[in-house]
Amino acid sequence: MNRKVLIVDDEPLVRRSLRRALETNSFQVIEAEDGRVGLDLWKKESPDIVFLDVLMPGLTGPQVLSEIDASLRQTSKVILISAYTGEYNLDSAKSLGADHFISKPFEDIFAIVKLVSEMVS
Amino acid sequence: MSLPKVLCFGSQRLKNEWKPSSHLMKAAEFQLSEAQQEEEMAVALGFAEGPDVAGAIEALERLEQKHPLTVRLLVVQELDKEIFQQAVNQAHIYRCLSWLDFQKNSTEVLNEALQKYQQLEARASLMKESTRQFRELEALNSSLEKIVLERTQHIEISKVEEDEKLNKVRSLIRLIKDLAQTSSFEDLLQLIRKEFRKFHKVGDPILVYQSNPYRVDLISFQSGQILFTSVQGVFPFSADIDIHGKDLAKTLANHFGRPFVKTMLIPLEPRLMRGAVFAGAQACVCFEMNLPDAEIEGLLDFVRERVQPLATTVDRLLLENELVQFSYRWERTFDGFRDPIAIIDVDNEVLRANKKFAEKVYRKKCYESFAGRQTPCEGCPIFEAMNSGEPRSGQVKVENRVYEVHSYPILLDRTGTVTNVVNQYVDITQARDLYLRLLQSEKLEAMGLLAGNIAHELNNPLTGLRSLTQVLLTQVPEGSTVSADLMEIEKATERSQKIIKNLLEFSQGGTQARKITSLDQIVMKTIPMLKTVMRFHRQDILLQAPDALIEVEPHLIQQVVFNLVNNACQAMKEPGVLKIETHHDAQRHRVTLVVEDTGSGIPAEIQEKIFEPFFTTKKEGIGTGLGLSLAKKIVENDGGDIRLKSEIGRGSRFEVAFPLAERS
Repeated sequence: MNRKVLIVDDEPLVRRSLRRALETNSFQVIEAEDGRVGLDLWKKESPDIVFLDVLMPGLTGPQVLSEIDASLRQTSKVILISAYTGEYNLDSAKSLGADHFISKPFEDIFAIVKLVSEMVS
Repeated sequence: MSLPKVLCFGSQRLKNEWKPSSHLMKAAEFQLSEAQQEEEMAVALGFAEGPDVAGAIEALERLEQKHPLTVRLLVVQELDKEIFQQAVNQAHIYRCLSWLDFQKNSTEVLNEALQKYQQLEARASLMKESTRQFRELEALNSSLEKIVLERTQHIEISKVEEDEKLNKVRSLIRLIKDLAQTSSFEDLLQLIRKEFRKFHKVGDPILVYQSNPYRVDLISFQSGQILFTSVQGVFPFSADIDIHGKDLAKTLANHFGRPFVKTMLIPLEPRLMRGAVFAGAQACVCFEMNLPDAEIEGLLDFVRERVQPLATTVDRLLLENELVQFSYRWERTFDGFRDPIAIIDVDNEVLRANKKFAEKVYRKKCYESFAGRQTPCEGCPIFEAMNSGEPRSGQVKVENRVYEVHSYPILLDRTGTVTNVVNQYVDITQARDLYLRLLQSEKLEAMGLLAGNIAHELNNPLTGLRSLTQVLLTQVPEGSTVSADLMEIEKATERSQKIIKNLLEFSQGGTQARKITSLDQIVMKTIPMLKTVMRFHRQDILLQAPDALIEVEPHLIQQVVFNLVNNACQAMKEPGVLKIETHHDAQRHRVTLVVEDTGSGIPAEIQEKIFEPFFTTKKEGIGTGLGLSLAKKIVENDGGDIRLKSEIGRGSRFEVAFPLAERS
């Protein structure tokens, strides 16, 4: 059974590149262009992995994290992504309830795919 | 009118024999008598005969002596030469006739004689008249002489008086002249002593004045020296000349500790002083004197003539004293101010100024003495204040200091034209420095924020772009054209990401950790941000110290490099050559960055100031003037130094040297 990945990011190119890389590795990918849609899809689809951008219109990443039900939160792994270097790191991401943190820009997309594969296995 | 009288004397016979003609009888009155007559006769007719002739001549002679006017005739019996001569010589007779001749011509003879008498008489009375007139003239003359004499004497007397008066006036004028030249109370006291020296029994003067309510000042001679003393209490001033005043003698005796018996006080009323400064102002000059009462009037005359000029002089000296004190107080007050202050006129001449403004301002323009300039300072509000009549403010820069200048117009006349301005210069260098630093740091902060935002906005698409390219690369055959194209895109996005990262680092304010890095690395990270300004010029970039490590805050050194390169590019108005080099001087344990341009060069006088804060040659709004001063500060903070070599028309060369880090 294919693992389900939800990508919540307002930048279409980020969503698209992640989708392409993940799909080549047999992940099922759902996209949300902002926090509000992301939250809805998260509740509806119960993804295994959630890519959550920090700064977005509607709800921000941390706001989405604070609104998601604890039960759903248990079944999904969350990777916080941010373009603001220095603002977040792995520790602060974890304190917000995320499982991992990746800063943008990504150096290597396949390294991320590898990380996701490891996280769901 | 009575008839002329004819006296007939002498021989009775001849007298009786002769009968005057009727004509004669009408013409004269005949008297027959002796020769001696008191009354003057017109004609004396002597008759003589024989021996009586001599007697008759004698009688005629006597007659002549008595009445010289009487015409004398002698008739003799017989006339001879001898008788004739005798009669003529002795009695100076008119005619001598013989009896015969007389008888024949008596009428003619007597007529002639009478006429003769009339002539004589007329002459005599003429004589008499002229004599009388002469006498009168003489008398007149002598009285005139007397008058002239009197007048002369009078004139002589008044001339002496006039001379005396003139001398008095002259000595007064001399006194007034001398008084006009006195510049101190000492001078005045000396002058008064000299003036009164001719009164031997008048002592040395004591000048007394009161210019404030608190004390009375006395200036006196004490054993030849001038002494200033003062009395706290009341001094017996008087409105009139006071002779032998008891109060005065007592006060002086108490003050000087010796007896004063007879004194004189001459009041010198300081009118202007009373009007302008102190209504209770008083002044007088006192003398001790031993003059007999009889001589006092003379002294008083002398004094009265001199009171006015003396009073005027005392008045003037008192006012001058006050003026000096006012001026002194003014100066002390204004010198006490922390800020430079000056009163400046319409021609920019400094009228008064405190020490903070300038040590010597006499007849100098404000900008000469304050700023050492030849033209008015830029930004000085003095003319605006003069034209508007309202206080104005502005900023001027003098050397490295920045002053906020407040110009307060002074209205001196009623026309409302302002010709003087009080300028106060408040040194705001530090405040401005802080402000500009704040501005700079706020600017940097804003730039950081902006760069952060841009970085975020660009990072997102760049991330997608690069990632997607990486995905596509796995899906095209390796070595194909598409693969090569995708690799180029991947590289370009990578480069873009690095630029953004650098921009973020560069724009981050605040203190960052010191790092050990190579100067070359820093330069390489900075240059991409300057591509736009560098692109017009040929670039000679030679980084030959990759191994020379320095310990710095990289983003600060980036700012230094950015500034130097940016300045170099701006210095070249036409396309030129920009040289950026690094040199590793292992021996001196230093690494040097050289930034050189082929621009217009920097004049020598500006070279000295170029590292000073707020010095800028750029237009308002383009530079803050902090760039090079900050660069210097940053470099020196890291133990390095920054130097400038520049030649007009050829360009400038900045050399920044850093000590190598311990580890390298």
